[in-house]
Amino acid sequence: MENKFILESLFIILSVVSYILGIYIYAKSRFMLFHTIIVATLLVILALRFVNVDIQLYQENTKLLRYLLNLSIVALGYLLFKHYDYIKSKGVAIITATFTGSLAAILSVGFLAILFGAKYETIVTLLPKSITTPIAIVISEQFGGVISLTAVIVVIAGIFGAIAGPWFLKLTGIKSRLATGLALGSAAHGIGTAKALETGALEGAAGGLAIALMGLFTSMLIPLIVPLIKIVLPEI
Amino acid sequence: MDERIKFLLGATILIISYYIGELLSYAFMGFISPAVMGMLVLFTLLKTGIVKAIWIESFAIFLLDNLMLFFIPATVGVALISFSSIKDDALAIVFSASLSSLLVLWLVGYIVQKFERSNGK
Repeated sequence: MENKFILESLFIILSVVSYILGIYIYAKSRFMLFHTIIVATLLVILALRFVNVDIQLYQENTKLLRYLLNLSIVALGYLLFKHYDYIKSKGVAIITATFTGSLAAILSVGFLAILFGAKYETIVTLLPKSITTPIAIVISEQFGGVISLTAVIVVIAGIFGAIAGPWFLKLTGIKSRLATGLALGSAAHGIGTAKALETGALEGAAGGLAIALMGLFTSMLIPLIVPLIKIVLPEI
Repeated sequence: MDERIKFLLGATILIISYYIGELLSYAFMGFISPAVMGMLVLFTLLKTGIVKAIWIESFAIFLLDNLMLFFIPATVGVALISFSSIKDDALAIVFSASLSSLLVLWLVGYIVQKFERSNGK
């Protein structure tokens, strides 16, 4: 019991130190690939490898951080409240955009995966990649995907969207604050929303809303799209 | 109100919102995750005036400022993939996931901006 407490404390300290170094390195370099989340993640992995500690042991003993992650998602309700009037005035735009985004996310990843010759199991593993992990895992499992792989893909899509997102939005001429937050939350769920929060509170609120709406629409749409994929892939 | 008391009060209210969210999530058979449900619960509490924004402000902002930290246990999971098991589909995964993410980014942003422009800003 006492050992477990020490282990948990050490893992939390490791995470916090890596996080602070991540912030510092990103602030100094301002280089996309040295983003806080990438640097912090790599530092934790390297440190664990160095002392030969299993990643799973680390994950099992950092429940406090996971718990705080859940509370942070709850805290997005506060931003939603603060920006409610603005968001409400754009309700139609927000719902149209996230519904289309959800449909496009599922269809495009499915279509591309088929094009690249992926097998059924991999395709359903990929389908929920743009939504928050707990919902993505449930959907993946429901249709015979590999849940551990879904979890990893969701994280990678999140990091990718958070890092490439602001650059790509600039490139495509998307400047509106609401559009930026909603796009980051839709493509990269919580990690994208964390990135959106760096730009502003309104962007963060929009990101939080996008997580909720994308989760909702995607869990409704995937059951309709999986049968279509089964028709295109007749061998299974 | 003392800053520290406010911080603790904020934490308590967020934790309660989370547990109500968890209960609701079970009621909806996990269709919406507990945290997202909790977000809607907190929003409702604030909107109805049961909870005042200043009670939770400092704790909520503390969490949101450090959101990246709380993702680390999930992101280190990347090191767990065994590349031999996905070797055949690795290319498909990387290309389809990244291209699709870019499409979603652009599409969502584009639609919102289109609406904003047509409404005269």
